[in-house]
Amino acid sequence: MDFFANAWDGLWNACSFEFCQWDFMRKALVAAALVGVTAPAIGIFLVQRRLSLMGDGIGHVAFTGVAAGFLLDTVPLVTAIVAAILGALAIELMRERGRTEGDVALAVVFYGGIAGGALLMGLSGTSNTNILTYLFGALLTVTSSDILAALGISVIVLGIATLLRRVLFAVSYDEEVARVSGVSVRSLNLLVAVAAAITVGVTMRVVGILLVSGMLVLPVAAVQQLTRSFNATFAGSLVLGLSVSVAGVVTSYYVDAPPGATIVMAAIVAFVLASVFARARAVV
Amino acid sequence: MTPDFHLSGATVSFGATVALRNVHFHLDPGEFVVLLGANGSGKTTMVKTLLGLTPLRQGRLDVFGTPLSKFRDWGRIGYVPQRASAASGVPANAFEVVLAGRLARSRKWGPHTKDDARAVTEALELVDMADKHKEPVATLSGGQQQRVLIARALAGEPDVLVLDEPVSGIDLEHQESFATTLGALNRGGRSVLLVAHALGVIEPLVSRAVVLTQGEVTYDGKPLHELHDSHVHHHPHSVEEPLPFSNPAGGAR
Repeated sequence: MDFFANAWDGLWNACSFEFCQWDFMRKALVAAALVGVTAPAIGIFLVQRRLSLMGDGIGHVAFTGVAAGFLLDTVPLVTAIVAAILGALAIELMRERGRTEGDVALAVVFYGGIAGGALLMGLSGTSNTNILTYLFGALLTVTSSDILAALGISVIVLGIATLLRRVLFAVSYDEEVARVSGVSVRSLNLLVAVAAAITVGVTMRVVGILLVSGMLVLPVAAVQQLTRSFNATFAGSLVLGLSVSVAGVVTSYYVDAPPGATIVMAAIVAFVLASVFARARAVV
Repeated sequence: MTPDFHLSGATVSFGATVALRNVHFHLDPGEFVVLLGANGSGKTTMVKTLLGLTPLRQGRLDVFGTPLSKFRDWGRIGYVPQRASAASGVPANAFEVVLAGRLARSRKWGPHTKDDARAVTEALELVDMADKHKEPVATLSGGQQQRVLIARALAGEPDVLVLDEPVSGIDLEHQESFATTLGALNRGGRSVLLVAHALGVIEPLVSRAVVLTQGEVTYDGKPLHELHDSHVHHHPHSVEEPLPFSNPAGGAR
């Protein structure tokens, strides 16, 4: 372990910016970078299926999971991920049953998640400050084990999104044709739902439950205005997700604002710039 | 000779609505069959039933001689669904869309192989879109998008092509070039099942016409000239679609 600790310190000491010298900033930058590159990798399939708000639904259910963690006195991240997975599967199965019904069902999941969370938080006597750290993130209190969890989940999610990209594209582009190609559409949709849920679980730590969906969707929404292919959109979203995360954390250090907010604002600035650039290019 | 599709005594219903009633149908290898009928007559339901997308309530379906539940050789079927546009949420170029149709014959993980790329290029060449393979499909014209979707069906190198109203929304000139392409594919040995509003430009290619009326087969035989328009179009009370048929050219849906 000494070797890793020395290598870690050595790398950061080579960084001449002031913020690199603080341990909490080092951890925050790494956690934000991992989330920034992972969230759009799964978010792109939600955008492709026009399910941009699914991440929000999952996040709301994760809130109940966080509250359950406090009530049961266990690690809230674990109960949040379990709740997020159950919520994602519920949304996916309800969506399968038809559009109108699925729309209403999604609303039930949204409000049920927040109400359930508020209820359990009340029962467990959790302080408001604690609740706020989950709603808006608590990047500066990230621990080494949080980073290891984020790393593990990033590897799994990026692995799924990269290795299965062709088949996930086919399913999210046209479910019926994918079925006629002998693809197991249902299990792949559930896989995306579960991958989105565990991504929401770690992203929540960085930007908070209320902004989780922004990390899944905004980098994709910005990049797709400038790209001409799915693969380029995929690669571009990962790069942009990483960039806005790092830029957001650094900005938060200098302006003393919550990093979740600065990260998502950076993504929105990127979105607006991409829109302006795309318009300008269309005119020329 | 084993038929590509063999449907017998098929009944399909959605809730209380019966969409297909005791339908018998077969498509033999090399045939070019057109499935005609008014809106709401059950054409799309029949196609989705043949492809296993809509479950049978009664009856039996064999695909290439195998009961549907045991059928696995999906590469033998190319499907062009009824669709207004090939555009989707995230940009995708023609190559990527056509590559999605290759999945039945390729591994499901990792990057595509050289063989996949060859099949995709050949499919795009067959519909005369090879030079547009890097174009985002959303920027292509309606007719070009339709050709990309046909290429996607061809990328799996299928023995049978199933097309649901492929010429709706395409102007006459492109309909004719589409018919030429389809004729060449059929002469190359592929069977074709095509859903249409009326015979139109494909009439010379068709070997058999099947007419559906309110979920029942009311004609199965040579493509008679009467099927051109009048027969199919005026139906006093069709089940799902009470609209008047205001577009005799068979363009809009």
